[in-house]
Amino acid sequence: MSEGAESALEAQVAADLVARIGVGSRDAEAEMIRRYGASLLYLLKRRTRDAELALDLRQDTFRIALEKLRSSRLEEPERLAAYLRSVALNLLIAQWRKDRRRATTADSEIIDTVPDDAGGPFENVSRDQVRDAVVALLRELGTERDREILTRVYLKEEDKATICAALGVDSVHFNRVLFRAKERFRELLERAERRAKLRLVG
Amino acid sequence: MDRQHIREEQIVERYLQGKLSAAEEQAFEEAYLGDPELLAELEAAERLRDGLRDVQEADVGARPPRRSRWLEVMASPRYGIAASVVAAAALAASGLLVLQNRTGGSAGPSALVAASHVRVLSLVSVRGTGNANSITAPAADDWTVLLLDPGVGDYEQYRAVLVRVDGNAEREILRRDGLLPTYEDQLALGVPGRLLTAGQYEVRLAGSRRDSKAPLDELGRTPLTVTPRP
Repeated sequence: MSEGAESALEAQVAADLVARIGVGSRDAEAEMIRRYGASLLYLLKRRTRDAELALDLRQDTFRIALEKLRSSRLEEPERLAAYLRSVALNLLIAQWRKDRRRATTADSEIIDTVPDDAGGPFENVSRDQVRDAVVALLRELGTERDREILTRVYLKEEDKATICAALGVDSVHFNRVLFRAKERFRELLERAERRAKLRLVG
Repeated sequence: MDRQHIREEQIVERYLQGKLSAAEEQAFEEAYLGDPELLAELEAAERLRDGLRDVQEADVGARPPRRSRWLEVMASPRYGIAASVVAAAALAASGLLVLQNRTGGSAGPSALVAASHVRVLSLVSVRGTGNANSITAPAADDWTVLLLDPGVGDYEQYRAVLVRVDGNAEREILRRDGLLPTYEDQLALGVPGRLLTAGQYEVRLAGSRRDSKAPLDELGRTPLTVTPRP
């Protein structure tokens, strides 16, 4: 699937969810919460630096969105993500201004019944496991130069042009090192996450 | 905001650093809100940053040692340019070796001399996205060298198989064993133009450990589209 097709698919999924919620589908409501819950929480945590507040704001975002979608149409249903973001940030601004929270009459039971598996893909990975994964990744990287690319990006927060000039690498190599490192690190994290879940179950 | 742009502009890293413009930030947040794969990539990058900080603080990771003089030279842009020229010549030569292998050694330097064009294509394989690799069909006498990223793994040699895909049917076009990373740590697979007619292909990469009797580990499948010559 081309990248353009992927965006089109997301737009299609969003429009479909909006349409189904508009005709009363509870399944669609639950699907929307599952689909956008984790990312909305991430965005709000990042903005608020307060996990509890982020959870509350996410709940309110979904309440407002459901009230809207059940009773009326979005102008651009394919941009559901943009709408949710807008609602969330407006709520955050209101919170910061210490305004009274919007009261809604929307039946919020659906929000409370959808399992909150939206803690993120690596929520069970401990800090030690992350560090172990980083050490493993650094050892697997082929050259010291590639390790230095990572440290310059993530620790020194230097931009690509500066790093490429300093290390004598081109943009293609820089992009490839970064992409490979992130993919491999993600594999290591997913492995750690699976092991952590097995321990939880066991 | 598409994945290519996100990769090229280091959007994920700049977002974590708080260096995106307001418009970029809005576009990126809207993108990952509806894309669980992109969110996972973002969260992994954040964990990587945090993990690197921990490692640095604990001094557990390999602290970069002081560079020796020859490493300084190798890192210089001039050396990089010179190395690229040498690598391009090596690629052309490896393409000739592939031709010799295929024709039982009967092809001599005249085969490469006869090739009017040698094209190098670095294949891109990205999780969650479609086919970003597309080329125009070469002339029969031309050569295309496909550069493949073996990834970060512990393999000593690789196998690359070029497969033509027509709907549900597949046909193996070219197979090379014993490949070793060369230019920029990539594998080079030389393909004569007459084998790359318009159509859909897949390059399948597998890794093995030297002297191991175990089956090769499949590392990935990278799509390639060859469009008709104008």
